[in-house]
Amino acid sequence: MLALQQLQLENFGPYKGQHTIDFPSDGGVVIVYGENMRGKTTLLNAIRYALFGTVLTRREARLTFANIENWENAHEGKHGFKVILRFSHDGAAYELTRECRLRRDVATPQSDSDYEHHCYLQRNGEALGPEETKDELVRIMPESVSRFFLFDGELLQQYEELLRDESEMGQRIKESIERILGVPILTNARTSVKRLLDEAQKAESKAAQKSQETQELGNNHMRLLEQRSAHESEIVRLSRDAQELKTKKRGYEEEVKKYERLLTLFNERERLNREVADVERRQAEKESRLKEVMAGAWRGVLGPKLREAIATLESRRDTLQAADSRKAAIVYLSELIDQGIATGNCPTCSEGLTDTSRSAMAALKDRLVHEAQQSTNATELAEVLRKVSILKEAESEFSPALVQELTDGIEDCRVEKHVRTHRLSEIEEATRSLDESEHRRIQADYDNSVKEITLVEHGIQRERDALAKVEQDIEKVQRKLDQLGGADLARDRHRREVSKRLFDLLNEAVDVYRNELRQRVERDASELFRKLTTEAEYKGLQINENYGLRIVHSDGSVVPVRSAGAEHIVALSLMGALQKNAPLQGPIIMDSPFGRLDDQHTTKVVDSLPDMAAQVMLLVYESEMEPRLARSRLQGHLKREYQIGRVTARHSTIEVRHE
Amino acid sequence: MSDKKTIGLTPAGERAIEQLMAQGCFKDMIDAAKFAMSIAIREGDVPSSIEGANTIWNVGSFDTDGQIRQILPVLFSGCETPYRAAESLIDQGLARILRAVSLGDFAPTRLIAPPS
Repeated sequence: MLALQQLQLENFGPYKGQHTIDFPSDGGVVIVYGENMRGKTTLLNAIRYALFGTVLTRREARLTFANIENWENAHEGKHGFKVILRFSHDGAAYELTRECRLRRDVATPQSDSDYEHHCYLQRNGEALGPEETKDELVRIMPESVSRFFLFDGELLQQYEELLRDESEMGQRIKESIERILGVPILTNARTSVKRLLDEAQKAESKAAQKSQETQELGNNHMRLLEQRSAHESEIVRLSRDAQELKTKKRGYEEEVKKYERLLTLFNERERLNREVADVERRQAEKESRLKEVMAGAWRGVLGPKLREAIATLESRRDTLQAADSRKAAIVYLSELIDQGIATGNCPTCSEGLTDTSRSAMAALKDRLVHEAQQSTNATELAEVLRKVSILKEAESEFSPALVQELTDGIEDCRVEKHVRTHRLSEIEEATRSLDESEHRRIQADYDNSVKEITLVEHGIQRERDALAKVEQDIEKVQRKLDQLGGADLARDRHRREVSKRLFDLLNEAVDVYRNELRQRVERDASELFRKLTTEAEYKGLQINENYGLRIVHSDGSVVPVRSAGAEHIVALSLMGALQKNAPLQGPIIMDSPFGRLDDQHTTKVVDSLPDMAAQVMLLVYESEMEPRLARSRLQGHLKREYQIGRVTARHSTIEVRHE
Repeated sequence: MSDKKTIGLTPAGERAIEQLMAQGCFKDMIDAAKFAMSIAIREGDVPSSIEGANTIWNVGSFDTDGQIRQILPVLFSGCETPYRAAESLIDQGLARILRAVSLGDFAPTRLIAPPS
């Protein structure tokens, strides 16, 4: 079992100078408190660097040495860093040192090749050679299973991928799980026996070829075996290609993700350009409409004036028309008076007129005639009517409200356009130094790798189908051969049959072992899950072929959707179960494991920590897990507490915490 | 006095109409000039004689339907030379608009609305 004793850092990440974390010899829990950006993940990375020589980002990209070394030192022209990890394994004491130094002829590093990288391993005080160091480290802690020892709380949601059959990440995690559980011991043995079986079959073919009776069958058998061998080699080659392509794809994925922000900006720019074009089109439509409307604006402005003038003229018209009517009445009256004077009788009552009455009527007529002459105004009335007609014709429908609406709309368009063009200039500024074609190339590379993987996987499937067919044919020929043959053939046949039985046995053993492992993992994960969950109605976990775990309700149904917090609890349960069932055991180092958990779940996880592994190191910030809570829940299991202190943004320290 | 066959703008009027056109509200200068004329009439300006107007439009293209020729004599009693009157009113109206534009608060609707 691997047990950490001491981690010593020198100019690693924010840790300027030399810093040490001691792990008590009797295991238990060590907690390192540190706020965001102080260097918690760097401690996890330092252990990873010591064991495997690389530091990965959360997106699995390798960090360059220039990004690992202390930035303040680098700023002062001092480069390089060192990590020493002291640990014990199977009773031996080890001291592992990894160091990165700037080459003598380099002043300012431009790439990793400007550094010299050294790794030394001592076992019980004796230095091991480079190859032995490599083998020893792989034996102690294979990188492929490190995810179960060094884990980042932020990446726990990856375990949900195990529920998706087609997931590449899920496939990788499944392989890691089987590796830590020791499945490769059986699968490797099966591969070796398969080789023996192939050899036995070939020997049998050769023996058959020697006898005249079985020569034709032997030739046929050998030809089929060669075909099978060719298909198997092709499957291996294509699988290797697929693996390489997947590795490349992950690399492109990383690059694509790096350019994600750029892509977002490019997409935003495209969207904004479309919107600006749309706003410009709407603005042009409104401006055109406004100009149309404004062509009649002069009539609109004159409207009140025209109406006032029309009112005046119409008043005059009325006066003139009234005078005209009176004149007509006067003419009629004058005619009546003339008729009365001529007949000597009143034109109304027909009585005889006296001289006095006649004189009065004559005087009245003179006055009326005079009045009618005074009010003669036909020309003026015609003129007034003409003017009214002119003004009325000039009056037109004009809507100031429509002008207002259009000018407001145009102003809105201008504002909209301004906001967008301003954002476009910001994007232009932000992307000026970035190479859009490079991004497009990376995206194309990524898309191509996806297509290639699909093609290769189809190729693998075709080869598998062909292989299955050849296997059937071999089987048929084999049956015929079984009925024939001499003593030589019988000996080789016996060898082949023994190999085949051994192969079948191991094949079955792999399935049996896998099933047993799944059952054990399901049982232990369920047990841990029940301890960790706060939901009493959840009775356990159900495992699938890929070691994916689903929550099972007490009524037997599977919980279809789970939260990020539940995801973490399930992932932690799986971790604990794997630790319990793995032949390889070691410390668990958890970075920010409680970030997504509520207080109750955090308390339950803290309570379970001593059961999960003999040695646990937690890297947490205080509000994620209160020191008082940790002390009260862990009590004697809590062996030591450290605090990451801040000197500057690029300089952190590690101190023992005393309270 | 005979009426004009063409209508023009004074140099000040030309500067003003350029600024008015720059507001983007009018399709052409004829619409802008008629608008200026209507503002002058509404504000109580009366036709007068102006000097130094450059020929810009033929009256036929300025007043295609002849309405201005008909209206001005009705609105201004004794006006016998409507196009001469129009030229003078355009100049006065443009001077008023130029003042509004220079104050920075030009808005067609504000000018269209009758003064409160």
